[in-house]
Amino acid sequence: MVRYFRHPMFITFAVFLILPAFIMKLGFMTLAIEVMIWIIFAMGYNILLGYTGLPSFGHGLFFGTGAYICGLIQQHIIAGTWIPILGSMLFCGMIAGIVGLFLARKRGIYFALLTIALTQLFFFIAFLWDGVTGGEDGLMGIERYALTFFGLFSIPIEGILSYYYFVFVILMVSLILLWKMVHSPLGSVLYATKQNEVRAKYLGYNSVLYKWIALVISAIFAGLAGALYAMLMHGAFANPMHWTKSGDVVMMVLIGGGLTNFFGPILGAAIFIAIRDIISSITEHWYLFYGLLIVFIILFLPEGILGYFRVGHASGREEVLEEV
Amino acid sequence: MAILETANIEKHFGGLIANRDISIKIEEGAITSIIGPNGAGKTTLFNIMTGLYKPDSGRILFQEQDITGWPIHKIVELGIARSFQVLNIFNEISPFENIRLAVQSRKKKGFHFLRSTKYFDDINEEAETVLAEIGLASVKNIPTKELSYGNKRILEIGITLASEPKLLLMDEPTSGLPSSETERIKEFIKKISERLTIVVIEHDMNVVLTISDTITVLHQGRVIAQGSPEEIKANNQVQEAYLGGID
Repeated sequence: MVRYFRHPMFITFAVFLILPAFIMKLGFMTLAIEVMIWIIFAMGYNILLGYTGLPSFGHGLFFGTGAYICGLIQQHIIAGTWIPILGSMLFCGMIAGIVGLFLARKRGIYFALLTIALTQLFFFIAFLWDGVTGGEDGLMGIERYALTFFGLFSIPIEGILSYYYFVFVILMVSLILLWKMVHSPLGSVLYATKQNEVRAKYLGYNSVLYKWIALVISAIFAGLAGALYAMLMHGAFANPMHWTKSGDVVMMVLIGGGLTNFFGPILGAAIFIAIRDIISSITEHWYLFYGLLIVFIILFLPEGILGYFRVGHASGREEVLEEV
Repeated sequence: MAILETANIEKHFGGLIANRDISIKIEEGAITSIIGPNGAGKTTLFNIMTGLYKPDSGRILFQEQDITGWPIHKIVELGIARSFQVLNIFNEISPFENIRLAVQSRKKKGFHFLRSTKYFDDINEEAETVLAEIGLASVKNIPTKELSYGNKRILEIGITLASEPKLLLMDEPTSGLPSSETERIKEFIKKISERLTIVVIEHDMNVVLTISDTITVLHQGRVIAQGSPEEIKANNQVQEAYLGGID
């Protein structure tokens, strides 16, 4: 039983469950919600980068699109919460499914460059298509409507505390789903494809199809995170899709050690957001200090902060943890 | 009956002709060796048979079905497995996982995404059986990269066996091994040949002459001789091109 309490999954849930008690009065609630949203994004993205070995620098495309779609559905189709969120996930999954038709055949640097080009393309569409996306001003007026459950009862999430716990529940569900996924047959094939694609093919796996699936899964989680972010900020913006921002999620995964540790992106996202917020309140050149941190980590902790502990990856010190 | 047949296979890489007009038949149930000097086009032929390369012209028939131009995974599904000249295994996971992935593919369970692999009892039991057969049960959970070279070679054969192929293509299974280990692989090939058809590319003449039912000799991309070990030993053209006067 004690084993369960020491499980990183349990610790993560416990920390975020009680966090509001400490930060509510300090005014850090929005920041904490933002961290949880980026964790969802980064953990989903890590299916692609850490488990399948495909370095996308363009996942801001799905995060940004998820935010817009959430707002557009709210404003043009249904003023709710569930449908806009699910719509964002579905739409992002579809975009990934389409671009994946040619992306999934690429590897390494070609894959990376194509993803950058794609996110830049979507950035300009979002930035210039004033009538639909609000262009430079962004798509404003995205609401946090009360959650309704089949018309039986409803829970308001407009308040910052209730929205916090709404995102918290989604975070829990997402992490459990992803944990199940990386330990499933599907996860094992993705990891095999990353290690040795030729051998995976010679075992009879259609590696291109599996890479396509990884891309779609990561995009669905990015769309979910984007929708939650739009509701948090009451707006959707083109910024996260710009190629200079689109790589943030890659950094979160790498800092935390997501390539060898399932939980790496949690720490990575928290550190990234915290540093951005703390240093940017002192100087607007926060990327400078952030860059120094990256250099430090690459020099001294090449596998990321949690990289030494291989958790949720198919080799090494995994036996210490039982499944949640 | 021929399980695999190639008809007039041609493959060029720029100016280099790797395979020219190769038409061979692989008899079901036999061990066929493909020999020839370096650069004779042996590995290229394997690559073409398994879909890694597409031939410039010619056809490949597996159990009378035309598989020319099929993707690798489709060809593997039909029952062709392959080991490589340079080790080709998953180094970052355990030997058990290596074998389990092969069994999982054969059982077409790769798309399950919510149940942990450890609950697929049928797959795990079969993986254990294969590990026992190849004698790696005692090291099944250590990282694969820490296995000895000989054990890695055995593991790769184990992976191919776990997919229960009808036809197994082995590219220099004994390369880089000391003679004691070569003996182990040789015995193993004989043992598994009772249940499947084997084609082996091999340089070690001792291995070739003792295990083969048929030998095909390639030289500069062409088939120059085909026959039993005795016939090949007596063939002058082969001796000139390759054997350089053994015995």
